[in-house]
Formats: sequence, structure tokens, C-alpha cells
Amino acid sequence: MASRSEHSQTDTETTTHSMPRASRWMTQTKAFALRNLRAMLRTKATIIWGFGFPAFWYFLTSLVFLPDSGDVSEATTLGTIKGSTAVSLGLFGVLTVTLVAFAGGLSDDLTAKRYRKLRSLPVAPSADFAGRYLAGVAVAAVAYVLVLLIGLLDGATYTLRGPLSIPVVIGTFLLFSLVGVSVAVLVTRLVGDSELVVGITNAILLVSYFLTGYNGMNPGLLPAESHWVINVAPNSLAARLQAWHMTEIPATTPVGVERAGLTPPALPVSIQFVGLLVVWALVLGSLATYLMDSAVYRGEGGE
Amino acid sequence: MTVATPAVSVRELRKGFGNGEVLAGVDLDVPAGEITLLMGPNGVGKTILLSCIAGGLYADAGDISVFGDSPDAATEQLSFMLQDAMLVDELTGHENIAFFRDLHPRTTDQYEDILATLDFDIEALEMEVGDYSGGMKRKLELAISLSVEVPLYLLDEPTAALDMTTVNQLHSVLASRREAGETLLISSHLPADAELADTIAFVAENGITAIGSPEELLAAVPSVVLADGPADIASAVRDGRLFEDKVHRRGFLREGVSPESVTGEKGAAVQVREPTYTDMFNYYVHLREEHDE
Repeated sequence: MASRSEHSQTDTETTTHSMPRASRWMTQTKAFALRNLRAMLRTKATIIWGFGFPAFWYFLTSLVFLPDSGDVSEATTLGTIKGSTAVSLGLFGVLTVTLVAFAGGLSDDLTAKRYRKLRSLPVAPSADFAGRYLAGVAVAAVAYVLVLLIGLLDGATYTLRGPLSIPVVIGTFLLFSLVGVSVAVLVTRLVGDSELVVGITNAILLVSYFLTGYNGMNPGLLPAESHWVINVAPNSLAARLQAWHMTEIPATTPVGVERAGLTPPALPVSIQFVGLLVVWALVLGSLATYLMDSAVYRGEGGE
Repeated sequence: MTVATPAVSVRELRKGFGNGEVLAGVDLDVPAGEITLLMGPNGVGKTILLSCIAGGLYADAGDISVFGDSPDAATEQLSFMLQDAMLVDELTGHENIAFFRDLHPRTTDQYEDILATLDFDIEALEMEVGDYSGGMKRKLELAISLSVEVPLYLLDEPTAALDMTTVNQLHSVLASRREAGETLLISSHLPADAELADTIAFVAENGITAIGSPEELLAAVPSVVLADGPADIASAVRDGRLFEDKVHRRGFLREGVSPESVTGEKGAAVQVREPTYTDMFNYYVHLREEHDE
């Protein structure tokens, strides 16, 4: 039985209508990116859960859970705490978009049998995935910046540690988005039913947030022997990396106090932790790309 | 005499899903440069057959050849219209067109001409497709699929949800494609589509049950007994099987029964006449299938 692969597309590129392989891939990636970007931005669920809910949660957290300025320890400031909280909930919004909204869109296409049509086209599965990823990144960026801006209005302070902080912050955002969409592809592949996909991705979103002490912002919620988790799990790792690079939160617990800011454990500020996030993204991203090809295209996803 | 190579050749095609086999050994040749119509009731696998030929689904067993290649290798040689599975409701008509334009390298800008021929209001392309009627969606799906310049078009129920005026306009578009030497394989429920076809293949649960030109197939259909009133015609028709519409009851004249003996009853509005394409559909889809079983 013949089947599609990245190679089969190359074989058919010999007509007079052919264009360079890279150019065609870019065109297809753009097509998927624009389509999914537009569809996501016009879906009420994305607006409510991707943009509205993280912002609302930030407000609620700031109003109810954050200390008054007088109760803040000397090691930090209320502005810094608000800043790190905004970073954490901004990344919560990023995961809402890249995991839940992304999975919902892919699942809709599969359920509606649109892949019967897409498989009949000379489409590169990797262009499909890349386009969807770019759309997810664009919408996630809006969700992320929105929470940071609301934090700013609420008195959050953001301070870059140095010139390296810019690529680290952007890089962690992109890598974390790749983790989100990759998990979305994985769940969509494992669970056929689109309603179940939305439910399960929401569960992953919330469980990962709470099990890592609010994306690593409240490590005291975890027993001491589990503290290592929050510097390893991709959501809390990304949040803590960004919080250190974007605020003046101390990386270690000051001498003489048991707990301060986001420590213990110490913040993951070394380059090895950036490498760990790269590994997460590469492993999951490779798996997702493979699944788009082998499961969705060659494997008749949605049938 | 040389026999032309078919554009599409299907042999012993089998395809099933979790709930059973839908296609159980289908054979079909689609002549190049002609219009072939797949007719059959819902659920017999016409869309699945088209999807397998298009490369949208993979056969469990059997062979499919599209211009001598596997469907996978022929994706640039064909365009597949799949009803209700192409458009994204949140996108405008223009945005849906742009998406598919970027995915097929042989797409042209003919969509506006096709839409105009099908009486589609071009301004509606600015609306989100979720606000379209079923007919508008079908016209857009057709315009997207037919604006690709390829030698083979696979169209899944292109006349569903269209009014008869638009059906006739679509027929003229498809006929012009045939004149240009292109091959069309079309699934349909609409008997009026038979007028367009060079070949009709009737699909039933046990595969292709009849295939031939519309004239050949029509000539093999028995005369039709038509009753307007309460006349009892069940004994005069094959298998006693009656097909009812709002006005008439009808059946196919039983072998050995003379038309005069049926119409001769006093006071009964019964007539015997030559079959139409609607009768042909009923005969091959419902009556012949039952006999074949």
C-alpha cells in the first residue's frame, strides 16, 4: 500500500508547476499558520479561556493571595512578587493557547474529516505542524503580553538581568510553546473524541499548574523532597527561568531565613536549565512532527 | 483495435473501519476524458471510494492506479471536492480559497468565474463561511476544487443542496471540462446528473452492480407502471415493489404482463410509460440490488 511521507512530496515536484521545495514548504506553512491564527482568534473559547481567564486569575491572585507591601520580606518587593506572578500566569495563558486551543483546532479538523481532503493534496506534514505552531505562538504571545501588561498596571515591576535575558525570555517562550503544541498533538493522537481532547488538555493544564506549585511560583506547596520537580517540569522551569530574567527576584534563599520569594529550591538560572528546556522541546517537538506524518497523514488520523 | 488506458483503475478495493467493511472488493475503470457518475444510496461507500482514489484514505487491500501511479504519487494530477469537509466556518470565503490556493501548486484564479457562473454573490466571499447556506458552501467547495488545473477531478455530491438552475449551470461547467479533455468522477444522488454522464456506475453494498452508458442502462430498465388514484397495481409490478411520491405510486412492469392489461381497468388512472432517469435510479439502486442479493 502506498503511503505519504515527506519524501513522496519530493517525488512529485517535477511538473512545470513546481517551485523550489523550500519555497513550497514555506507557502504551505504560511497557509496553515494564517488559517489557524484566524480560526483561533475568531473562536470565543480562545478569547475567553486564552485571554480572559489568565488575566482574571492574575487579578484574583493579586487581590486575594498576594501580601500587602508591609508584609513582604526584605529579600524582595511587592512589585517583584507581582511581576513573577504575572510571568507565571502569562505562561499559564501560553499553555492554554498552545495546548488546549491548539488541540481543539486539530481535533476539529480530524473529527470533521478535513484530513481526507488534506491528504489528497501535495502537503508536507511538517508544514502543517509548523504552520499550526506559528499560529499558536502568535496567539499565545497575545495572551502572555496581556497578563504582563495587566500586572504592570497593578504595580508589577519587570527588570531584565542583562542583554542575555532577552534571548532567554524569547527562547523560553518559544520552547515552552513548542512543548505545549507537541503535547496537544500527542493527546489528539491518543484520544479520538474531540470533546475528550478538550477535557484532557484542560486537565493537563490545571494539574501541571497545581502540581508544580502554581507554575513554580509557590514551591512551599510541595514537600521538600519534591522540590526538584519544579526545576524540571517544563511549565515551572520556564516560569522560574523567566521570572529570574525579568524581575529582581533572588535566585537563592538569603542567609538567615527559611524561605523567600520563589526559593527554596534555588531558581534554575544556569545555562544547563535552558538546555533542559531545549531538550524538552526537541524531544516532544520531534515526537509531534513524527506523529503528524505517521499518525495524522500516513496513519489516517480522524478515521 | 486499441483500448484506451483508463485514467483511474480500481481493482479488488477493500476498505473498512472499526464498525465493518464499507468497500468489499470494488472494481472500477474510469475512462480518460469522460464523465463517470457514481450513483447509489447513502452509506454504500461512494465517498469512501472517492477518498481512496484521491489519496485521502488508504485501501486495506486492492490496487488503485491514477494515471498509472498510486494515489499518493498523483496528488498533483487530481483535485478532490469533498462535501462538508473542506471549509472552516470561522474563515471568510476568500480566506478559505487562499488556504487551498497555497496548498496545491496548480491552483489558478478561475474561482471568480466559476462562482459567477454558479450565481454566487462575489461579495459574500467577505462573509464568514459559518453564515453561508448549504448551497453557498457547495458552490465555494466547487470553485476551490475546479479552479485547480489538473487532468482529473473527483467530486463528491457536487449537486447536493443546489437548486435545479444551478445544477444546470454546473453541468455546463463540467461539460466544458470534459470538452477540454479532462476526466471527471462524480458521486451523486440526483437522477438529473445522469444527463451529464458518459458512464454511470451504480454502487450498492455489494460493490458496483451495473455500469454502462446512460442510454444502455436506461434501455435495460423495464417500462414503468404509474398509478394516480387508488388502483391496485402491486400485482402488475416486479416484486410487488412500489415507489411512492406525493402524486403517484409507481413500479416496474412485471415480465409477461402486457401494458394494455394494466391500463385497461375502468376508472383507474393507470398508465404505462417509458422509464426516466429517476426510474433508472430506483431500478438499479433498489430493485436490481435486491435481486442481486
